[in-house]
Amino acid sequence: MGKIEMTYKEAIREALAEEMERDENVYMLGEDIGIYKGAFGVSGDLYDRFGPERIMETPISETGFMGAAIGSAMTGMRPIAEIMFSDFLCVCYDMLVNQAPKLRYMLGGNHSVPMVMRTASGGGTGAAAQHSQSLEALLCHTPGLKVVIPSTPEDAKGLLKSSIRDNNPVMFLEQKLLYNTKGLVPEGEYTIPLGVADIKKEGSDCTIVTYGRMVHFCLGAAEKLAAEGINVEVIDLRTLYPMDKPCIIESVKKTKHCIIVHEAVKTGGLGGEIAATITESEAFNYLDAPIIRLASEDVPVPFCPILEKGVLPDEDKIIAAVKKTLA
Amino acid sequence: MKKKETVISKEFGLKLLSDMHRSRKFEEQVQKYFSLGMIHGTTHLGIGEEATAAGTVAGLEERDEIITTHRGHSQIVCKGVDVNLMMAEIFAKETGVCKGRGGSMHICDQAKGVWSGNGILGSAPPIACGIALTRKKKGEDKVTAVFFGDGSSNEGGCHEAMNLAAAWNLPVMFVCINNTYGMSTHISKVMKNTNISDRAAGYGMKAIDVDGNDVLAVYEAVKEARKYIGEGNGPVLVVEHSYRISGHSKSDGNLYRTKEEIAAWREKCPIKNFKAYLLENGIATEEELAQVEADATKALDDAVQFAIDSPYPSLDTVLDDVYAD
Amino acid sequence: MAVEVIMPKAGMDMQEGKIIQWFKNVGDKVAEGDALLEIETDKVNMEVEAPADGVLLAKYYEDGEVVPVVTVIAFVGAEGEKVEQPAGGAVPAAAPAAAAPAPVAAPVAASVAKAAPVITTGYVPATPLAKAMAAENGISLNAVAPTGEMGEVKARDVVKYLEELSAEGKISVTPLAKRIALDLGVDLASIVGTGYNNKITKADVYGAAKAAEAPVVEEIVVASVGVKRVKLSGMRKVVAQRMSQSRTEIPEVTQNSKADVTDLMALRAKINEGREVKFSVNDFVLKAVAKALGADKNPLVNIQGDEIVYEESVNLGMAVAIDAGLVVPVLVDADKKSMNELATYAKDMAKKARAGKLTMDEMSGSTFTVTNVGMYGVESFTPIINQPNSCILGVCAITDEYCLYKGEPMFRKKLGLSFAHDHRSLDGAPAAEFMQALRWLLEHPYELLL
Repeated sequence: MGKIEMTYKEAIREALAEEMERDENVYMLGEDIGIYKGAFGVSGDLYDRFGPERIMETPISETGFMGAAIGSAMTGMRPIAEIMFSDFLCVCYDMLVNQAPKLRYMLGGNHSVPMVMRTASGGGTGAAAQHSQSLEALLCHTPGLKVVIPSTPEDAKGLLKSSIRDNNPVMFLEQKLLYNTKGLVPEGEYTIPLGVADIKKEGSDCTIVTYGRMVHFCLGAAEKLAAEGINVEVIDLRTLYPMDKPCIIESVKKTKHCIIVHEAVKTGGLGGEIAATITESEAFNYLDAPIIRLASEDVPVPFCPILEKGVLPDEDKIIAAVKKTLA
Repeated sequence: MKKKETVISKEFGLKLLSDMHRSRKFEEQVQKYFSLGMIHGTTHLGIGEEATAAGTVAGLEERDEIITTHRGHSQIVCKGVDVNLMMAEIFAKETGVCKGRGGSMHICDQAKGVWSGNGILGSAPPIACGIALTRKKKGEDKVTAVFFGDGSSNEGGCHEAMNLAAAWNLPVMFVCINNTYGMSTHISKVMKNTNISDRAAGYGMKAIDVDGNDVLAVYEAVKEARKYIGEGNGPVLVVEHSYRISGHSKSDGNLYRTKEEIAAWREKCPIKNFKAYLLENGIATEEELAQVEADATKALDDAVQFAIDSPYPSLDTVLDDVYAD
Repeated sequence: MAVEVIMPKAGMDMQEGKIIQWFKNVGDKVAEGDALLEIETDKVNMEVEAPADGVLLAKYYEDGEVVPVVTVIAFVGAEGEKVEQPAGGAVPAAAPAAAAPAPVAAPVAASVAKAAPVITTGYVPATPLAKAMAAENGISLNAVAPTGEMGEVKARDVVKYLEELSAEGKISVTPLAKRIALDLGVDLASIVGTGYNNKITKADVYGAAKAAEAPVVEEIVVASVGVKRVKLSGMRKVVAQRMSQSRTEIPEVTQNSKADVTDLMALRAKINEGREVKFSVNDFVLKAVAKALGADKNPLVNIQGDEIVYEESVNLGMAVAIDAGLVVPVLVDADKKSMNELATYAKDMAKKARAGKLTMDEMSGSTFTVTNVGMYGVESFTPIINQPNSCILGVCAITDEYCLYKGEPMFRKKLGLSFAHDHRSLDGAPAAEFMQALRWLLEHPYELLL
């Protein structure tokens, strides 16, 4: 199967189009996703191709249309709701936390809620603290939700197709700074299963567990470390819930060292969860140094680009952390 | 009770009466067994509001669907859900409609068009929009009726749903049971305009006010609204004015209202009034009315027995159904 | 090439050893493993064996001399070989006392040990991987030099240590022996195996562990005709010397008194109902002594040379009779333990004592001694003080006494207490005050559970 180059955004659009072609119950709803083509242009030509009945432009009313997505999912549709910025998830937090993930269980398994909530997550755009957050830890704290966060065009397409076909509410966290990055995507039909991590680079000296935009920082750091003879393994989790724990555990058993890198703030972040997963497992007895978490400082994302960059992990910080753990 | 122009059949009259009796008996049994410590958690009873439930459900088509609030037992009883399975759920038993996972506030029965009660005020209306959206997309002639109270009418979700349903012309019936208290707070304290039906105009929506203690009036109003929605005109707001004689929940000390006020509303008991109506108009006999009540009493006694006899769910199953396959 | 014989270091806190007697003279032929001499440490006696076949070429110290540990005391080698006493006497390689004990390669006691086995005591910070590797290879982390940032042992340190060992000869060990060594805290690197190809066996590990703790009392019959004569040696000899020394040096006073333990016995019966492991009377006494000492530290004072030492820790020595004699395991910080903890601690120690598994460290550092002969019906006696302690409490039998209790004649249960103290460091009045407090506790037993 050949591969063609496309952007992360185009890969997402391809997945959306293919799934809407495949299943007439799939439709999209969200703010400005039609004629405007989406705040980040993800929709592209979808409105022209599928029309207003399948690409539904909603009022600025996150609770209203997220609730509508849940109701229609319960009754047989497969809605894809787009929340413009992941920060706006907080506006309809009830739907995300009390409704979508709870209904199936609370109603004794009588219903399922097959829907995808797509949103643009992460910072780096100079949009300040209400348009830049990485809120995945809040979402992973809610049994009933699945949480996906792709780092490459290939993953984005394959994972989105699986998310749309999944019979549960899936939170699909797109990385807004990756929308225009390019990568090779397999031609034709393929899916990537949820809950399976990807070892983006194999290595023997230290495991770096990461996801989303930070995958690229870690790969950059890995390259520089390789030049110094330090061979790190980079695990891209891809799905945060359910998390591919066996992959992490096996890798740490191999490398004996682990650092965790994420863009979200450190306190209460998934880094703690990942570290705990390792120490609760048999990998604990293979650790030869404390696990290090690299994450954003515990601060609202600042506006000034120097400050914003300064609070986030970067290649130099990753390299330093790897060296510290191997010291 | 005002005289109806419609002449109703004995069968229909007794059906409405039976629904109200069953609703009342259901709440009384829950109240009793809660007090005996045999029901766990909390319950929200709707004693006094039976006409809103029976009249609304009667005014809908059988295929229509409902979402209820935390105070939804009566509406679900009237929709025909098996009271044994409802009661078993409230007793936290494996045989309950939600296998003991949901309890009093989350009773559902897809086959009967009951898409569950929702414990979060203001969250059911948006979900109702979604159910209606599916029906519209599939071209099915089904209306989604969503119940909410005067209290939740102030929730953002409620307003967002009314706007969305109106904008998208969705077949949603917003059924507001105005019992004048949001928990303990009288509507006059929290709304400048307490006439909730006035809000419909703001969303370009039709509204109907009706005496919620007059089961036939409710039936007529809902029937009219149902017809309007069914013709593709979009959503309708029906405001049914009633009163909750029981406390908000089991912990209510009734500090916010007077005994006199409660007593006055007891006089307006929808069941008592409807029985009088049936007799005065020669629609049914005393014996027939007594039989309906006796049947309801027996059905609910049986439901409690069924619930008590049912097993609790096994802890081995506690992780089942968090995710669908 | 001549082989050194050194004064072995047989415990964490052993600084010097005394030569009791040489079994061989210079010029005598010896085989590897033959007993060359007997030494006495702070607590036990042990034999030092010939490290190789050959002739005893030289001995630098005579019977009765006290020699610092790891000092070269003799050489064994080929007949006529020239040897020289190393300057300062110490073995160069083993000189840094702080270094890991493993390299101290002195043959002692049991034929299987080439050095005193290292007993793992104290927590060694180490990464999980380093711990796992040490366990897998049956080595003690105490022996490994840490290089971690925070002073922890890292995997590379274990690897380095293992490489050093394998340079000396690989450790060959059976899986069972490895596990037992780990349980007992014996460093396999210090053992020469007796199995095929020198593989270390279970017996070797037990032997090494025992050698470090309690040497075997050997019976040597030297005369007959109705009388069995056994050479005074090992533990018996130590006990004999210490008892004489105490009696000779200490102006000892014994105060006899009785505590009313009627309530205590009732409480004990009640508590023990349904308990799998019952509290003994001795447990209550230990707890009462610990508590009394926690509040009044006068009896912990002792005389060492020309100094009075004020001890702070309530470390109770607990005399335990074993077949070979008497050992006194120590209950460290007894005043900080609950009744339950202390009882469990005492039972564990007594069990270890009877199994001959006490380590040197477990017998060191007592500040007060309790000895119980109550079970033999003894009503009072004059216990001998366990130096350097200045006090010992003799616990006697419980007897039913007909007496006046709160004005009423009745039978009460009385526990005899014989408290001996060193009058040099502790006068009669403070001693009596301590005993008064102790009796009060025994007579108000609920206080012991608080």
